[in-house]
Amino acid sequence: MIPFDSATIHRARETMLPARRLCSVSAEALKTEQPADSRQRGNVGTGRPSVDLRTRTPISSATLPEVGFRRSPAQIHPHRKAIMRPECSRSARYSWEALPTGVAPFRHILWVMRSPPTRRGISRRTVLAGVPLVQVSAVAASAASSASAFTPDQMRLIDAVVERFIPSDELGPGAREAGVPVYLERSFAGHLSRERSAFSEGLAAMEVAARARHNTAFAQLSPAQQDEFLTAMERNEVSGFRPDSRSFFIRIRQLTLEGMFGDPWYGGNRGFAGWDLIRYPGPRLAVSAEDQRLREPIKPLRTSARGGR
Amino acid sequence: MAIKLKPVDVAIIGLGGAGGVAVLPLAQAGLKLAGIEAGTWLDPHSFRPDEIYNNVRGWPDSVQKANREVPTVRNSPNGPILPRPAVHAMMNAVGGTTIHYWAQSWRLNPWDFKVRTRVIGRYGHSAIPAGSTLEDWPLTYDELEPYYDTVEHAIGVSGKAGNIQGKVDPLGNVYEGPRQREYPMPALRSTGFTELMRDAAIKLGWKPFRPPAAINSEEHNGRSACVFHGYCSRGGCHIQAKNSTAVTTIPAAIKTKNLTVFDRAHVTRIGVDANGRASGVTYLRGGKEYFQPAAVVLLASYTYENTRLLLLSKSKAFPKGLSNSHGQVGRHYFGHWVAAGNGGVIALFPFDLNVWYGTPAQGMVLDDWADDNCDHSGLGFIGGTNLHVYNEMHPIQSAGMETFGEPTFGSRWKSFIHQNAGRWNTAHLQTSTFPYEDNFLDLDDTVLDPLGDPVCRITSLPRPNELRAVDFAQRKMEEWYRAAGAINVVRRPMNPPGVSTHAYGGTRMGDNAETNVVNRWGFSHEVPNLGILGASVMGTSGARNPTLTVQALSWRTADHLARNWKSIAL
Repeated sequence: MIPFDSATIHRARETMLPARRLCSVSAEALKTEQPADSRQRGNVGTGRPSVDLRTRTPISSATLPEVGFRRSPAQIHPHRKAIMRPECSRSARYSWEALPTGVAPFRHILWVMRSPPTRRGISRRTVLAGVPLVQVSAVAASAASSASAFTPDQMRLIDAVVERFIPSDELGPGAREAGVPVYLERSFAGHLSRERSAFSEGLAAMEVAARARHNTAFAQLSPAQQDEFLTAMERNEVSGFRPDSRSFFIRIRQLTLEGMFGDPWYGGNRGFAGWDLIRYPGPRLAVSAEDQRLREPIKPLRTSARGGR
Repeated sequence: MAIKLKPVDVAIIGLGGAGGVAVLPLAQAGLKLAGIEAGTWLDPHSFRPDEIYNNVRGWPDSVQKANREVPTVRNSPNGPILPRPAVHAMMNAVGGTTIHYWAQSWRLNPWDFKVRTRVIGRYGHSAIPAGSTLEDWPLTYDELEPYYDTVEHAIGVSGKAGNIQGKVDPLGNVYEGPRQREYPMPALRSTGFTELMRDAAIKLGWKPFRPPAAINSEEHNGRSACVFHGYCSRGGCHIQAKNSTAVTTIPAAIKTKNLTVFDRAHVTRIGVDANGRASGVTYLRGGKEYFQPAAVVLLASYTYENTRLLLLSKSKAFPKGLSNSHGQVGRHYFGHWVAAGNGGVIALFPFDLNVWYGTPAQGMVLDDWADDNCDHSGLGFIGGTNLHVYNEMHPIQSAGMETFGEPTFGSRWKSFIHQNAGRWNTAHLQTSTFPYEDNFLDLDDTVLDPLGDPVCRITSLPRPNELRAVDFAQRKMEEWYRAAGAINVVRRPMNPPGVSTHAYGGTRMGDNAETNVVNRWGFSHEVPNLGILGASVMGTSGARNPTLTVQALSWRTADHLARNWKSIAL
C-alpha cells in the first residue's frame, strides 16, 4: 500500500492530465482503464494460453507477445460493428472452455454482446470509433517501458526472501520453486508498476540494513540469519524503511502469498504447489452439496481459471 | 463547449444498485430516460474464479473511475489522512457493484426507521448517544413494505419469511417486520458448516436462520440457479444467478424502448437554470463533453460521489454547491461499523470446515442481538448487531489466516497452514451505526482526481456507542463459535470505518429542510426536480446490508415521480 501523500498525488496529476476537462477520457485515462500488466494479457485476442499445457509451466513473460489487440475489432467480431472490449476477450472464453466441468454452455452470451442501442443524440459507434487504436498504443507503450521490473541484484534478494517465507521442505516446494519471484517480477512490470519505486526503496533498505548488521548481502546470509533478520523486520526493529520495516515485511509477505496461492496464470503457484500445500480443492464451475460437507475430503481439481492445467 | 443533446424526461446519473432499479418503474410509465453510467457492460465471460483478478486487483479491466477518486479518510477533524486503500470498494459498470456484491438483500427492522422515538420511549433521553444527530426517518417500515415486496419480486430474492402478516415462523427471522407474502424463492441451501453453526445456536437457545439473498436458489425468470462455485465475493456470476440490476431491472427497462444507456460517460456537473432548477447533466464521453438536458435529474451514484457531485456543482443559485443552501450536503455521514475478516472474530476448528465454495449469502445468521431485540438497559449502547457466518474462502485469503501465536513464515508456518487453512472461519458482524455532529463528508482540496476536481474526504471518528456494541457482539460471536466446537478464537478490536461499501448519509432524507437534503420522497428540499437515490439518504444503517432498502427507496422515489410527473417536472 502506498501512502497517498500529496507529492504522489501531485506527480500523478502532472503525468495524468496536462489540461483540464477535454482530454480526461483520452489516452491516459484509457490506459488506466486497460490492464497495466500487458504481458500478462499477451494472449488477448489470440486465444493462446499463457501456460504451457503439457508441462503446466507458465510460458515465460519474455516469450509472450507484447501486444494488445492483434486484429481489428471487425475481424474478431465480423458480425458486430461495435468495439471489441477488453472484457469480451477471447482468452476469457478460452479459459472457461478449458474447464472440464460438465456445465452446459452459457446461453446468456448473446444478450451481453448486444449493447443497448442509442436512441438519440450521438451514436456509440461515432464516439468509440477511435478507442481500439488508443488501446493498442497504450498497452504497447506500457509494455515497452516495463521490460524488466528489477535488477539482477534485486531479483536475488526477492528470491532469498520469498524462499525464507515459504521454504522448500518435506511438505513440498517452496516459494522459489513455485515461481513466486516470477509473480513479483511480472506484477511490478505491469499492474503494480506505480508501486515499483517504493518497493525498490524497501529492497534497498533491506540490503543496507543487512550489510550494516552482517557486512554482507541478505542473500548471502545463512537461513537462520535471514530468519532472524525477517523477524526483526516484522517486529519493527529494523530502521531505514519508509514508513517502517513492519509495513514492508507485511507487503512483501502479502505479495508472496499472492504468488504462491493465486492462479498459476500469473506466474506463481507453479504446478499448483500452493493449492496442494493448503489443500485447496481448486476452482470449478459448479459445486455440489457433497463438496460442502464438514470434514469430508474434496477431490482436488487442478486447473487455472485462465486456461492451462 | 459542451455538445448539447436532445432533451429527455429524466437523466439518471449512475446505473448501479439504485439507479438500475429506478429506471424500471420510470420506463414502464412511458418516460424517456437517459441512463448515464461511468462504467460499461461487463461480459460474463470475463467473470472468472480468479482471486487475483477479483479480490486482489479489483477488476483491473473494468472502468476505473472510482479508483481514480478514492475518498481520503481522517479519524479526527484535524488529523492526518490515513493510507489509501489498495482498491476502491465499489466498481463502475452497468449494474454497478451489484455485479460483484454478496447480494444479501435484507429489509431493515421496523425499529431502524424510528430509532429516536423508540429509544427515548424505552430507555429515556439519556440513552441517545452524545453528539449524535439522530432523527426518525420520515417514513415507517409499513410505508416501505410494499416497495420492499415489489423489489424482492422484480429482482428475485431467495429467503425464508419469519413473519407473514403477523404470523411468525421460527424457520425465518422471527424479529423481522411483517411482510405481505413469502419470498419469491426458497433460501439458499445449507452446508455442513452452516448446519454446525445452526445446531450450536439452537443449543444456546438462540434463533438462527438463513439470510435472504438476491441469488437464485432455483431457476428464476429464465436464469439458472446458483451453482455455488465459490467466487461470488467481489466476483461476477458466470451463469447470471446473481440478480444484479444488469441482468434484471435494466434489461427490462431497455425492453420498453424508453431507456437509453450512455456507458463510459463520466458525469462532471449537474446543471442549474436561472430559476434554481436542475437543467441537466454535463458529462465526458470518448474525449468529448456533452450536456444532456432533462426535465428531472436523478442522482444515483454512490454515497461519496453523490455528495461530491453536489458540492462540485456550484452555481449562482447555489454558491455552496447544489441543494446545499442549508449546509447539509455531506452531513450525517457514517460508514457502517462492520467487524469482519481479519478485523473481526476469528475461530479455529479441529476439523476441515470445507467452506471453500458457496457464496457469503449462503450462511447462518442471528438477530437475537440486532436492533433493539434484547433489553439494552445497562449495556451502555443502543442498536445492535446481526451475527453472520458464511461460506466461501479463497486460497490467498485462507493462507493469510491469523496464526494464533504461531510464526508467520517459514517451515513451521507452512506446516501450520497446511493443517489449518481449511479449518478457520471469520464472522461478519454488522452493527447499527448512527450519524454524529462531527462525522461528515466534504471535499479534500489537497487530493485531486485526473480532471483536477477535489476528491471526497471522510471524517470518521471512534464512537463509544458503536465500539461498545461491536465489543458486545464479538463476545456473543465467540460464544457461538465455541459452542460449535472452535478450539481457538480471537477478537480483534475494530477501528472507525474508512472507505466503506456500506456508506450512509450526506444527503439525508427528512421532513425538516434545515437538517436534511431530501424530503420524504427522495427529492431535494431546495431543487424540486432533483431526486437523490442511494444509501446517502438513509439516516440510520440498521444491523444489516443496505442494498434492498436502497432499492426499495429508489423504486418508491421513481414511482412517486411517475405519479406526480406534472407537479415535479413542470
